[in-house]
Amino acid sequence: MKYLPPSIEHLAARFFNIERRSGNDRNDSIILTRRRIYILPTYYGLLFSMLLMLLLVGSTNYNNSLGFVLTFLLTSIGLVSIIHTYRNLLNLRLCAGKSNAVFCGSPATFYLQLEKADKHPRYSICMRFKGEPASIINLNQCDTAEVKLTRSTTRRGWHAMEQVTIDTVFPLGLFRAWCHFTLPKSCLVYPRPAEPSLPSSGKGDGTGNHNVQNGGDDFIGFRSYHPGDSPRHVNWKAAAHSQQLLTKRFGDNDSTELWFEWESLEGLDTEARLSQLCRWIVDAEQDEVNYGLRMPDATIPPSQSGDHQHRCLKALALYKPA
Amino acid sequence: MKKQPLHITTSHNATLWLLASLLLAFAPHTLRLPIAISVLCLLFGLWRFTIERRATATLPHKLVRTLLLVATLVIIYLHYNTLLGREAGIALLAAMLSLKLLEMRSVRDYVVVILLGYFLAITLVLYSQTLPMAAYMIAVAFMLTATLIELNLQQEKSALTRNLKLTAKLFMQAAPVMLILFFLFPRIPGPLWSLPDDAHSGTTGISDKMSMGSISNLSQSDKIAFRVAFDGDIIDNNLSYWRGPVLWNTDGKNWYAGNATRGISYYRPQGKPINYTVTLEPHNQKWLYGLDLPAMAPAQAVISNDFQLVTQSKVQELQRYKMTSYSKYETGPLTPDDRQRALQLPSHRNSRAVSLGQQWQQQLHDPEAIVAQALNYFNQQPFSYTLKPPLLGNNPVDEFLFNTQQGFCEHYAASFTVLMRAAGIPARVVTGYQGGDFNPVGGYLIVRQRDAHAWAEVWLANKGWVRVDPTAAVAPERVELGAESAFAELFNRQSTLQFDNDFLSSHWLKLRYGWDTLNNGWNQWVIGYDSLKQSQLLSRFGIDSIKQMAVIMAIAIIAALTILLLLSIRRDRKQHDPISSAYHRFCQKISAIGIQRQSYEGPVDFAQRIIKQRPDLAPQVLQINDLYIALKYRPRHTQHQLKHLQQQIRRLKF
Repeated sequence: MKYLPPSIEHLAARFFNIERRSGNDRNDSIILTRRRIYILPTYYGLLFSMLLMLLLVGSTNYNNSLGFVLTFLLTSIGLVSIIHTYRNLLNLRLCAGKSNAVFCGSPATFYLQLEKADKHPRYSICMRFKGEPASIINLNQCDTAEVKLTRSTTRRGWHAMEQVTIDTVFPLGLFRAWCHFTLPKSCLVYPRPAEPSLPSSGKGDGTGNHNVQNGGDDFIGFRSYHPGDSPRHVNWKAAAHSQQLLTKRFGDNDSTELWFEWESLEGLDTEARLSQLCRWIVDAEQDEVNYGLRMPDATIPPSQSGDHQHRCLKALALYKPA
Repeated sequence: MKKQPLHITTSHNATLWLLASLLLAFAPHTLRLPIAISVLCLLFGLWRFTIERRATATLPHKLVRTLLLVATLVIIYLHYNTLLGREAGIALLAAMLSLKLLEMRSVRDYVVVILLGYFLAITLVLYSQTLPMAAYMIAVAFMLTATLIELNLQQEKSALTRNLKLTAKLFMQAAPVMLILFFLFPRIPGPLWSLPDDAHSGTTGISDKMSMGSISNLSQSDKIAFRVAFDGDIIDNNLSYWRGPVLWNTDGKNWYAGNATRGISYYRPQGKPINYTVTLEPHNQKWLYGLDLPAMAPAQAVISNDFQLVTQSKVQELQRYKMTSYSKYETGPLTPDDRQRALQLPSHRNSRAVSLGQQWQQQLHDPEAIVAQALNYFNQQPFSYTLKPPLLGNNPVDEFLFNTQQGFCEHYAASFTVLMRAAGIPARVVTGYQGGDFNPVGGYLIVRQRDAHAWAEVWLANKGWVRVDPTAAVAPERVELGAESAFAELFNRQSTLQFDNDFLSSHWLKLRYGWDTLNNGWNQWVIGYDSLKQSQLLSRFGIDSIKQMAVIMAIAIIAALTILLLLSIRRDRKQHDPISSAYHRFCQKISAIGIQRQSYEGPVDFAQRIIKQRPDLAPQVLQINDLYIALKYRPRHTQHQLKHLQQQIRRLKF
């Protein structure tokens, strides 16, 4: 669909002297009330009005009453479609939902809940961040829908939800009703993990006790099978009972505790250091090894769990060089 | 042939809707367009349809399309010798539209085609502005609008009935604004520029030239020429002569009006005046019809000295005018100039007829006796009145009078006039209509093309111009009963009067007259509603200027749209459902114990969180939750269940 250029939208907003409501909302939900919705013709609307002019001139020229009937019928259908388009957005409620943390480079995902309070069905509602592909929602059978909006990421840290545009041209595409809004929701972006390095690449050696991998003799438990695990360590008895392959883990408590240290990565710039730490954390978590993180501003004692990983990565994501 | 892949961004359904609505818009045009163009357009549409049906869809290559475009243009040009004008323009529009189907892929293309489709719809009413055609045109617009809706439905299963319902809703809601626009939009009297020559072709009616057989052709047509509402009683059928062109000049084969002189049209009326209103269908000629003899001319015409109602420009729109006529009259003396015109005869043709006339003049002397003799001649000789007279050669009057003796009214009128002129009596042919059907439902007379007629007028010294209808001498029933009953057999069809069943026939007649009454109202209020009628109507309400009209129109439209908006929003509010408000109350109660429902939390998640924090509430919460979900998300539920939910929430205590 083609829309009018944004500059005209600005002009319209100024003309109607309506403040652009974006970012002022403390609530984590927003209702598209009358004052928030703008409506203007689309390019097709302008094309349609040109057709109407032509039909009017033709009808006048031939003095054809039925020509006038069609011209005026189409005119009023166009006018009535304004109401339909407008009402397609009116009184919709948007709530911010969860947003999952992502690694830098992959798109940040925001979930929004779109809800209608009345029984009037809504069709072809588009929601998008500026410059991102739109999500199209129809609220026909249900009253609510979950909308997933994605935003590409280029830096780590908190990403506040940027301005979202919700718009619709339904039913005729001649007019477009829209509203810009933001909700107080942020998405955490972890640093981009560095390229996977060989298990005992020199860097981590000796500093992070990185080289200890299932090296001990004591049996300390099972974990799920990873390709590359020694077949001798696979619990074949258990495999015969269940479909799952389990690997026996050996080691001693001292050696399975890894420390990833900011200081150990001297010589690299900040982002490269963070990326490398990120990679180690991800790998360690995957290998189900206890690990801790030592940053200049924080120290996270060794542990191993999804939450622990999140804590570590969050510390990396929010690290501010002194 | 290399083919381009089809990257259609829209649904198949939109294309099918579009093809169907274009076919609907195009169908009536096939009757008028050259066959080659019709076939090409249908082929292009079919081509697109097959492309649409196949999974591996490819549009024809650009080169192919260009070749097709050139070929189509050549065909149109060869047929019309132009690409402009109404007929060629429509052919061009239809051809371009169907060619566009072969390159249509983006939403933009679809929109352009739909808009052109609306244009094609309006061309339908250039030919016919009847009630059924209006309905047809609106049906086309309906389909095209439904297509537009289908195009704008994204990622949603299309449903035929929903789409039609939505379109119907749009049309119904558009009706009030349409009526406001129709009646209040300031009409400018057209045309804005001169119309193409073929703008009004296809209108039938009497022309200002008559040859043997020209009127009998008209007699096949049921088309309405005009309708007449009488102020008083309806006149007798045998006085119902509707005067059209008066033909003075002849070359022995054809009769021409010549230049109607605008001299004094004087006559002494006798008897009562007859007042009536004529609603004349456009016939693309420069005259109006009035009852013999008109006493005055309406505003748009002048009366010529041979009592024709002559207009300044061709009658291309419906005309409605009030008239007064006298059926008894005495016209004044004849000017020498007119006498000469009324006696003119070509010397080289119809010599036998001329000598017969001269013979009567020598025998009888008295003009009235000669007229009687001629009528007697038609009556006595084996003349017959037929719709399909034999073809006549270079001396048509001679051949008709002495050989074939079968003819229609123009044969009798022309031959009679030739005989009179030969006998030295000034005579002329008058064409027009005779008779008509009375519509008892609407209370007016319907005059159709088949009532077209020709008669003669002779000038007698003490009476002036006298109407003589030689057809009446041969077929008196034609004048007494009208064309329809006179030709019931000749038309070779079941006449409405020949139903065996009286009951059926009377109902059928009533239905027919009712339909015509509806058409008459349609003509008066829709087709005939022009700038003149608009200013007449609106001045009754005190609206005099265009400015006032525009202001009132704008206010009315804004008011109508506001009402519509308020109604639709209010209806939404009304539907605010008690289930949600009951659940809302539940959430409020729970928040009192410190558990807030998060905006993103569904009812199930919320219930689980409550139970986690307050396991003691589990039975109550679960019951409320189940009820709420059942009410909210299952299609059918009972009032009882709702009451139960409300009760449970009321009883909830901590």
